[in-house]
Amino acid sequence: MLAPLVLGHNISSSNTSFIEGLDGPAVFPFMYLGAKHMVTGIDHLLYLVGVVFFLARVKDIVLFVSLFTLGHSLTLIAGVAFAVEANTWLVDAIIGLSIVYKAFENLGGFDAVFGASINPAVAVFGFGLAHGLGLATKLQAMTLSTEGLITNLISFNVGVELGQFVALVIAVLVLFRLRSRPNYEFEATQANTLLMTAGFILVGYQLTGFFTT
Amino acid sequence: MKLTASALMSRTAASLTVALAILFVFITPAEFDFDPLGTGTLLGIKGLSTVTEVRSVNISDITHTSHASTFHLTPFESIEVKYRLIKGGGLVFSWHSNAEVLYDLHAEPKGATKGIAESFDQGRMLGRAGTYIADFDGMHGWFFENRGGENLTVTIRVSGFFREGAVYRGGYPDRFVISDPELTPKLTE
Repeated sequence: MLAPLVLGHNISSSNTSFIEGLDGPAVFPFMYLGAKHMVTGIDHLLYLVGVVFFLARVKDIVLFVSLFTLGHSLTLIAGVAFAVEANTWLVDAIIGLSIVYKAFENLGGFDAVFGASINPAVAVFGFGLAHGLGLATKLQAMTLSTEGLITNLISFNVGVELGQFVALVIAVLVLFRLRSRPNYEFEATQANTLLMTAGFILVGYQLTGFFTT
Repeated sequence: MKLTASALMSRTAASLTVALAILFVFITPAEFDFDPLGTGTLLGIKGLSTVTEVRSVNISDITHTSHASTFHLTPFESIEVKYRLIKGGGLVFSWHSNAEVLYDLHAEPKGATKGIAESFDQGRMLGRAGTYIADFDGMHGWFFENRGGENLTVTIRVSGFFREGAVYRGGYPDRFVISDPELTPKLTE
């Protein structure tokens, strides 16, 4: 038996049946799921790598990550609480597009091609909203008990942030090391081009899913 | 590294091209059974996403058959009773013995070297009942051995999607074929 490739990833089926069996508040299971979803989610991770790629100051990292967190927390909580029905494939395609966008922005694409660019801080907040909607659709895919919904939702959200923090620490440490390399500028350009390719693949994957299933 | 607009556009185009190639050569054939370039078939990755888990329904081309047998085993005597099943074919079974008997539910894949078998359930018991789904084409059934000092009698009843089987006693197979056409209407063809 083969596990499906984890691209626009879902919460695994064994976790789903466990969660569906729960009735009432369950802080740690949901926190764990949130963290796991973030740490194992290539789409969220690639976007985060793109966001912090050229941020050299901790202050900037905190600002951008906070904006991203604010954005995805808003749509995660609102999406589940108000039972917003969004198509998972399309939301995940937008998440893939956020990676393409960020990589293109990192390459200086908007200034070079269009002569103008959207403020990166605004963009990270906007795409944060999309990522949160993606988190919401994954959580909604499980039959959630209304008992303790808000507690569980917030637990999931806290888990997402914990997972994001772990992933970010690793990404930032690696990126800081890369900066001291002699070929850094060339490598950074190549890395962001690869990031863009990965984003395109994710968009293609999700759109194929949307049109074929 | 500051890129010019044209360098950026060609980089983006190359990136998109590589992404589309990876997508349609590998990913959509494997994940969505969508194989526009035929590479999925060529590489054998088409249909990887087809779930092959235990299903609730396995449709059969033939009707089911029942078979019952009773064996008398003297101490240290053994016997085997097996049925020919195709992959996905099922047996509903019950057997019981008047004293503890050593048993081994196992199967020999079709065309496999003699002696190659896979065991699914073994032990010493007075009886056992359940549902068995064949994981591959071949002969599927039970080995029973009397490890006690008394004679014993094992009765086994099965129902399932088989047309033939064999009882092996003392190493010699005694094949049986359920050939009554009344009993074996073909459902398709």
